Parts: sequence; C-alpha cells; structure tokens
Amino acid sequence: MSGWIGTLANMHEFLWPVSLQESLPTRYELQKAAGKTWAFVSSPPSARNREWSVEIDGTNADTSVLRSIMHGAYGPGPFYFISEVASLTNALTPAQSLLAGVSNGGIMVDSTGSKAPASLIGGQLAVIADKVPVLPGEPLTVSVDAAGPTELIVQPRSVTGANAGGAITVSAKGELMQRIHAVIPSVPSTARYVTISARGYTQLARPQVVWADEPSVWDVGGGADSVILMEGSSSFTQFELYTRDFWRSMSLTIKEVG
Amino acid sequence: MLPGKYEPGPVIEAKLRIYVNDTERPHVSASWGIDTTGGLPDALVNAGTGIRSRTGEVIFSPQKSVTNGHVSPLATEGGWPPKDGDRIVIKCEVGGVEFTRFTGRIGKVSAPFYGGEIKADIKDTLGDLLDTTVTIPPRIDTGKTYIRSEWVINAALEQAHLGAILSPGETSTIHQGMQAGNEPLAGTVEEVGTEYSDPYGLSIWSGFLTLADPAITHNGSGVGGFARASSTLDSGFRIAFANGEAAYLGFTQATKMLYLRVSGQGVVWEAPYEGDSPLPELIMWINHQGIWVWRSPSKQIYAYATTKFTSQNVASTSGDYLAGVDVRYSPLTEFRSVVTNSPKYPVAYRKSWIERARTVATRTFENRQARTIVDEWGAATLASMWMDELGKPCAWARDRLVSMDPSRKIKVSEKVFSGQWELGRDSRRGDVTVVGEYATVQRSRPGLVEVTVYQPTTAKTFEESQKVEEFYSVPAEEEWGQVDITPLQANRGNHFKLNNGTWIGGTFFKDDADTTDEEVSFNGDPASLKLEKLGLRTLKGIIGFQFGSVTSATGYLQTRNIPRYHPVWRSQPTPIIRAVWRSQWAGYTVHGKTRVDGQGLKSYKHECGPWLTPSDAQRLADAISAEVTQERYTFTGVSLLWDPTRQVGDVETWEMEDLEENPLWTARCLVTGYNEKWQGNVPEQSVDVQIISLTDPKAGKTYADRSKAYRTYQDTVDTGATYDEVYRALPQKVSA
Repeated sequence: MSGWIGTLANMHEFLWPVSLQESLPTRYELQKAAGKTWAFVSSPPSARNREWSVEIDGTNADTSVLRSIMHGAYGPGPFYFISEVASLTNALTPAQSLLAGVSNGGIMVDSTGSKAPASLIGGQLAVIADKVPVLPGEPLTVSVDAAGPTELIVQPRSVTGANAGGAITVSAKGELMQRIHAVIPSVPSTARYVTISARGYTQLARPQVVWADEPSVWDVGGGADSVILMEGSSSFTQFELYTRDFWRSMSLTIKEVG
Repeated sequence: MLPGKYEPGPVIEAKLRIYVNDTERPHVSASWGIDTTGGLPDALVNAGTGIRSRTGEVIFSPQKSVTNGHVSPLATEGGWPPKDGDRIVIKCEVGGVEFTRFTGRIGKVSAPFYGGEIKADIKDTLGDLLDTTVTIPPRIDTGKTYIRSEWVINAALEQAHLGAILSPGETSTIHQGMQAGNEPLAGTVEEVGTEYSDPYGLSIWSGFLTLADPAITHNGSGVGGFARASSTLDSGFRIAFANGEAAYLGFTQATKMLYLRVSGQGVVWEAPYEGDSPLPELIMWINHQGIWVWRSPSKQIYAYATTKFTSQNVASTSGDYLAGVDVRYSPLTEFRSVVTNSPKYPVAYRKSWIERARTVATRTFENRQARTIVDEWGAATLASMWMDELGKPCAWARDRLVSMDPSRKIKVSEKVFSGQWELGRDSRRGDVTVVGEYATVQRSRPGLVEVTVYQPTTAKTFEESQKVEEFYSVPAEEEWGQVDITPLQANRGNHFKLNNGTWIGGTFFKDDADTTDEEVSFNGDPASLKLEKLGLRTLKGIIGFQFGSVTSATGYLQTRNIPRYHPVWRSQPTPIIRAVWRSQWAGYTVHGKTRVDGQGLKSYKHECGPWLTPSDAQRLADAISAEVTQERYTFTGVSLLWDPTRQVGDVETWEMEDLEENPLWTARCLVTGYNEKWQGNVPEQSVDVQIISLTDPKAGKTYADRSKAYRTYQDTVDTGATYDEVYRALPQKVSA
C-alpha cells in the first residue's frame, strides 16, 4: 500500500502504510423535546470533515517526504491527498464524485440498474471536475455514466493552467445509458491536473477518475483536495547495515480542512 | 413574525451567513439576544418599558482553510480584520428561504496573539442613534391639528435619524412628521386632509395643505423637498411656490416608478425607484435652473431643466398618502449629504388603545438625549422600543402587544426542550394609583397675542439714565408658545389698548415729597426693551431708561396714569410680555377600579408625568389594576426549537398534553425576548415569554359542549347533580 500527498505541482508518494483508517464524523446535532427529537444538519454535504489515521512502517527514505511536510518544508498547505485506495476506486473528492454544486437533475438509474442520487441534464458543456491531480507518465482513466450523444472531454493541464497536450475526447456509442471512459495511457510530463467536461448528454452522473488504464467499479470519491498533517510520532526500530536505512514505525493524522 | 415559510421536519438543514460591510465572512459561532422586559411589577404581563437593544458576539474563523500567520490589528487587507462600526448583517437560509437574523454594527473586536479567530461584539444601531441630543418645542392642541404622546417621540426620533423624514433643519420652512398627530414643527396647516393607517406601522395623510413658515425664506440656495411614500398606496407630494408654479414628485406602487410633474407641463420625467425601503423616499431639489430627483437616497440625477422657479420662496406643500414631508432651503451639496442618511426602515408604531383623549399640550424638551425622552415616555405610557432583526425600530404600546393575534401554535411536548412554570403570589399588589401632570391652556384670539406670560408685580425705579439686563424664564409648571419678542413702547403712538402684544413703558414722578403722585410730563417714552431668545425657556431683556431733559424726578418702569389709556392699563408695571398661548401644569391622581383590601398587599404607584390626560390615565389605572391584583403564572428557563420567524412581540399559543395526549393546559404567551446561538450551522434558541392567559382546555366553553356533555353523562352521574356539576365532572372536553 502507498499514498500520495502534496500540491498540484508535486504529488509525493509515501510508503508503506500498514493501516489507513478513514473516519467520517456525524453530520447531525440532536435537540430533544419530551416527545420528539430534531436533527440539525451540522455540516453540508460538501464539507471537508474526513480524518485518516495512518500507520506506516518504512525506512527513513520512505517517510522523509511526510516528515518534510510536517516540518513545513512544502509550505503551510493545505495539500492534496490521494490514498492508494482512492487512486484505484475514485480519485475525485466526494463532492466532485457526487456532482455537489454541479448537478441540475435528480436521481439517475445507470445501465446496471444502480441509482445515482444526483445528475446533470440538458447536454450543455459543463465542467464536471477541475484540478484533479494526476501523475505524469502514469495512466489515467476518466469515466461517467451517461445517456444521449455524450462527449466526455479530459484536458490535461500544467500547474499554471496551460493545456498540457490536447484534450482527450470520447463519444458515446449510441444514445442509451452507458458507461463511457477516456484513457490516457501516459499522462504528459508537463501535466499536473486534468479538467473533466462533458456535453451532449441527456443525463449524466457518477464521474470517476482512476490512476490506471481501465475503469473500476464506481465508488464515492476518496481523494482530498485540502488536508493538513497532524499528530505525527515515530518510533525507530532497526538499522539495516547493508542498505544504511533506518526503519521506523510512524503514525500521523491526516485531517481534512476548509 | 418575520415573513417567510418555515415548516421544519425532523431533520433541519440551516445555513448561517454573516456579512461584514456586505462581504460574507466565515464564522465559528455567533450569538445574540434581546430582552424587552423590565420596569414593571412582576404581577403585570411584563412587556417592558423604554429602550431595549439587541447585543451579542460573533467568533469569526480564519479566512483561509490554512492560515500561515497570526491576525494583526494593523492589517486592513480586504477590510479584515473587522473594526468597530463596521456594518454587520446575519442571515440564515433554511428550506430555501432566507431570513435576516440580525442587523447592526460591530463593536469591540478582539483576537488572541496566536491563532486566526477573531471575536467581535455586535449590537443593533438603536442605542447609538438614540444618544443624539434633541430639542422639541412645546405644543398645544389647536383644534385644527392634534397631538398624541407619540408625536413628541416621533419628533425626537426624527432628530435621531430614525424617523420617516429628515431631521428638521433650521431652514425647514415646512416640517410635518404626521405621526401621532398632524401638528407641524414648521409651517401652518391650512387643510387638514385625511389620516390613514399604513400596514408598515405609520400614519399616512392625504389631501392636506400646509403653508410654509413665512419667517423662513429663500436664502439663495435652492429648495429641497423630502417626503416618505406609503408602503402600499400611490403617493406623491407637491411643492408650490410664491409665483404660482409647482412641482409634484410621485411614486406608483404597481410599476415602482417615480415621476415628476410640473405645473403647465404634465409629466416631464419618470424612472424606476432604485432604493430598497418599503416606504420609498421621495426627494427633489429645485432651483432657478431646474429640478433634481433622487432615484434612491444615494443616487441623484438632473431630471428637468426649467426656469419656472426663479422666485423660490415656497408657498405650500400638499400631498397624497404621505408619512411625512419636509421642505427646506438648502444648497444642493448639503441637501445631498442629509438625504443620504435617511433610514431604510423608519420607526414603526403600534399606538396604545388606552390613549383616546387628545393631548391638550406637550412640554419642552431642550438639549436632551433622545433616549431619555423615549425612556420617560415608555415608562409613563407602558411602551417599549427596540430594533427588529431587519433594523426596523419598533415603538409598541404594551396593550397592543398583549392583544396581538397568535403568530404560531407550539405543541410543548414536541418543540419545548426545557422550562418550568412558577406561580408568584408575592408579586400581587392591592391597588393602583396613577399620578401625572395635566395642563390648562390659555390662548389668544386668532391673529392676536393676548396671553400675559410675564409682568412684574412692582415697577422698577431709575434715578438716572441706565441700561439693565434681565432674564425672563418660563416657570417650571408653565410652557409659553409664540412669545412676542418685538416690544412696543406704550407711550409712543396712540395706543389705547395694551392687551395685545409685548409692551414696555416708563414714566416719571417728581422727587418732591409733597407731590409724589404728580407725574412729570415728557415726550416719547423713556423706556425701551430689546428681547432675545436664549433657548426655548429663557428670554434675555435689555431695558433702557432715558431721562432726557427730565430733572428732579424718579423714573418708573410702568405705564402712565393718563386718560389715553383704558383704566385697566394705567400705572401697570412693565414689561408686559405676551405670548399666543400658555399652558399651566398641575398634578393629578387617579386610582384603578380593581382593588384588594384586607390581605396586606402593597400599593402600586405609577407615574405618567405629562404624557397622559387624566381620562387616559384612568383607563390605564383600571387596566393594570385588573391585572396586578391577580396572582400570575410565569414560565422561566425556556429553551425550545429554533424558529427563524419568531420576533419580539409575537404571541404564541402553547399547548401542553399529558402522557395520554389529553390537553393539560393552553397558554397564550407573548415573546418578550430571545437568545439565539449558532455553533457553525446549528442554531439554538431560548425565549423569554410572558403568559397573557393560562386556560384549562378541558373546560369547554361553548354552549354546545355543555349540552353534549350533559346528554352524554346524564344517565351515569348522580341524578342530584346540577348542570354545572355534571360538566365539571367530565374527565375532558367532549369532542363533537
């Protein structure tokens, strides 16, 4: 297992997390009368309130990036964080994957009979997700469920927002509900993120980005675009005389902010 | 009750937004509250008296998700951190509806050395504005115009920039506030017109004609007119000039358009109203080159070029459905800065139903803080003043508050989280006494100045030519109106009657001891008097006495004893200072109709000063004696489900059930205050309520209920029971 953390300019891989526990706080505050309980929503759906407890066993080389970030070497943050799980299930943020703030339609039933809670309708050119981090040189697959003469457009961009190579455009085959995916076998070396757009659809939902050369089963996004590192601690276990590596067990908390 | 639909389900999603100088700022928490109770015995439904402010605090979160640094008080980037005096508006959105929760300004700001949070005190603007020093001249009921106690309050609030029209200026030739009476502060009412009630909480008048004050004339600077339109009816006002020309600025509700009409030209200009007041401001400025019109208090345009108004003395103002009008001579730049400060929400009244008799006269208020006047009035008439969530000042009488229709129904077991009831027997009073001041008024016949307000009892003597300065102060128990400060000399001219106007006169008697009653003949008048006003209650007089060629005589400040005068006016000490009217004030006492004797209860004495007539005071005494002699239930420590429509002054019906869901009690409650607290986007509310009435819902009150109850139970109850006994024995009200 591994993970990536950093800024759009530079996502750093860190090794080797032995456990990654994600917690999602309750979104409600309860107020009780004798005969009725009322729940107030304490955070909106788009709120960044996840928290990851990370346990790492690695050498000083494997963990130096995390220690550098915690020492402020890469600035105050906030940082992007893509766990290995997220990179293979959906690297979008939860809000992006659920079309929060983008959707203009209701529930959509996809080609497998599953229901998406919100959708885009109308077919106008719409940006589904922007500033989705990518790894230069690595494969990338973007997919959506859509009906209608849909075009899915994936535009790699440099850290300054300039186009990094041409956009990848994929058209639907027919107009029935289907899963459409665009693959970039090797992300251009100057690309640091992608902008995902679509047009022509009658209904669209469930966007997904995976850092692989084919889509996987859709999942709520696991990526994070605004985290900080907290509560780091290390215990040093053994020195490898041959490689000159010092092994350590490190724990830290990755907290979503903003 | 704030407008807007709020029907909460079991899950409530609300979003709080805080705007500082119109920019949204993220927050950690916010809280504010208002409590209008106080100033009355516990046994009265305590809606409070006087001025109540809404205060609280906001903790702002850092402006970025990760802040690299600490907050500096010196930093001013993008208007942050906030400063004392910044405008703050707090709104929440729930169920797709936006509710304004607080409007005011930021007070003290504090932030720790380390960290990014900022704490700011917040308060409404009512308290600051009421610190304004104001002066209100005395008035009497003229018969043509009338005054209620709120007329004085409105005059004070106008000067504190809370009224419907501008604060009266020294060059206002017409100033008619039109609230709680049509007596103008400047100008003379020629045609009274008709008074209507605007749903906003103001009086509006139509068909009136008010003449300009002839003593205030054109000073070469142009004429500014400001009027406040109705919230529901088409309104407009007309300024007529001495040369016969006139301009009319109107507002059409359906189209929200302003339009300008000029005599002989018809409509010459129209444009949409761009302000945001529910009672649009009608503002124009006129000079010899044309007419300027304001589309909002901050946006003025040159609307029409004309040379019709070369003679700029104002003759009169008339209007349709207006909440007040002010016409003044003022340079454009000065007028522009004055109208910019006109309030979006002027004060709204709910006037007491207890006040029914016309106020005979009002007292002088000179160089007083507006808050002290409002406090006095509130304490005397049982009224309170506060600013609501939108920033609208409310001046409500207690009797209107307790008689409001219920705004909402509360099922206690579902919406009230905690609280307790109390029964306070100790707060009862045995009887009520109301003391006050009442005025009698002496007035002159039309066109005359006949009321003698000052005359010395003995004549001042002079041994030589001399100038003497004197002060003539209005006695504490009097008010003088329209004093004549241009004295005439009694011995000059052919004056046979000295019963009109202010007079000075002198004479000489020989020094010879044997002929002391012999007047010395002389020409002219040895005495002169120059009067000037020092404020509203003092005159300064400079008396001159000249001997001329008269020798061996003593001068006396009195009229001569000669046949030229009517016998009544011979040998009268002078000066005789006269006014158009004088009011004289004396105390009175009335007692409430309801009293409880023999239980050792204390008396309640209420002072209403000069604010109520004795008949109104009697009605007040009767009303509060009926309440204060009874024991009263109260609710304390009540926290309940947040409701963004709840406002001070709302009446709610609370229904309590027992565990079998049978009705236990029903309370009619007046909301007299609340505290609202937000942690992020989760609100909590605790309220202060006063119980207006507590009833047993099992006691069916209709005849049909009684008939049905008797029919149902007649076979099962004791045959000896009376009709009422059967009914009272029922376990609960029988449903149809």
